[in-house]
Amino acid sequence: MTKGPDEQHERPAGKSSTGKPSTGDSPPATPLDPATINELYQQHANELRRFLLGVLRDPQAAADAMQSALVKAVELGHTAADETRKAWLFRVAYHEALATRRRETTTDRILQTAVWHVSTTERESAAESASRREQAAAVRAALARLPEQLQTVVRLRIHDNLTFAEIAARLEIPLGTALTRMRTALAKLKAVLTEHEP
Amino acid sequence: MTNMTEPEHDLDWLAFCYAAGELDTQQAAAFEQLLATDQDARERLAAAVALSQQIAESPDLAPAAKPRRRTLERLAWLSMGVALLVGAVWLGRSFFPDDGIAPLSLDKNGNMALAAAWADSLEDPAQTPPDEVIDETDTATPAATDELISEDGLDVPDWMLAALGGDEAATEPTEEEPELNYDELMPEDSLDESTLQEG
Repeated sequence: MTKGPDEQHERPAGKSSTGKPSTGDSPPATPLDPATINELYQQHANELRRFLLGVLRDPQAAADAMQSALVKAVELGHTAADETRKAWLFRVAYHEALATRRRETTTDRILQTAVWHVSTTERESAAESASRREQAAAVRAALARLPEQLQTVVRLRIHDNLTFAEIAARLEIPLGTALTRMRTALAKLKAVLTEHEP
Repeated sequence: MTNMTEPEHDLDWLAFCYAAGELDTQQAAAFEQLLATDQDARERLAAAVALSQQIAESPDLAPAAKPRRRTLERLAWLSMGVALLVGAVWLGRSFFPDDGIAPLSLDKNGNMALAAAWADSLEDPAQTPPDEVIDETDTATPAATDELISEDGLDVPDWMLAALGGDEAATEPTEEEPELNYDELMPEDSLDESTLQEG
C-alpha cells in the first residue's frame, strides 16, 4: 500500500500527535483571527464535507463532525503551521468522524453503504454552484463518450447499485473484467473532472 | 471485493471502493489507517465521493444489456402483432366482399384493377348538385360577391370588403415593365475587344 506524507508532516506546530499542547519551547501562539478561520472554511469546507461523508455515509453525522473540527480549528488552529493547516483540519475532522462512528453500533452497515446513495445538499456560493454545474455537464459528456461496455458497468454499479460480483454475473464476464472496466471508466471521468476543477 | 493484493492498485481506485462499500472489514480498516496519516488519501476519498455523486446525478448512462434486450423483444412482439392484424384485415376483405367494396384482384393487371376501383369510387360530377360544383372559371365581380354574401345573410364588415377590393386591385395586371438595356448599364470605358487582346 502506498504511503503518503507522513504524520509528522501534518502535525501542527506546538502540538503533540495526541492533540495536546506540547510542553517544549513552542512559541506562545494567539488564536486564529475570524478572517483566517473564514478563509479556511471557504477553501476547504466542501472537500472536507465530502471526505467526512465518505467516512460516515451520513450527511448529518458528517455535518456534526465538521462543526466539531471547525470549533477545534478556532481553538487550536493557530498551533498548525500555515502550510499544513488543511491537513491538520482534515486529520482533526477524521478523528471526530471516527469518534462519531464509534458511538454508532452499525459501523459495518455504514461501511457497506455506497456513498452516492446518501443525499446531500451542499451549501455553496453562486460561483461554486456554476462550477459544479459545469463539472456535471463535463462528466455527463464524458460518460456519453465512454464505450458502451464501460458505461454499462458504471450504470449497473452506481445507478442500479449492483456489486461487482453481481455485475460480472449479469454480464457473464469475469469479475476482473468488471473491475477493470469500472476502474478504466473512473480514471477517464476523473481526468475530466480534474480538468474542470475551479 | 477489490483485489488489494495487486501490486499497483492506485489510491483513487481504493478510495472509490471504500466509498462504494466494496471493501471487506479488513480492507476497510487498512484503508482507514491510511486515512489517519495520509492527507493524499483523504483528498482522494473526497474526490471519489464527488465523482461518484456526479455520476449518480447523471441520467445519460447507456441502458444495461438486459433492459435493452427486453426492449428489442417488445419491439419484435409489437411488429408481429401488427403483421397479424394487417393479415387478418386483408383476409377479411378477401373472404367477405359483400360490404360494398369490390375485392381487389392480384392478377397481372393488379394496378389497372386498383385504378378502376378507385375511379368507380369517385362520384359522377354530372350527378353533383349544381350549387356544389365549383366553377373555377367564374370571375365574380365584387358586386356579384356582395350579392352572394347578402344572399347568405352573412354580415361582413366593411373593412374586410375594402381589404378584398385592395387585394384585387393589387393583383390586377400592371403595365409591362420595360426591359433592361444591358448595353446602357455597361460603362463606356469598359473592356472592349482591343483591351482583351492586349491582356
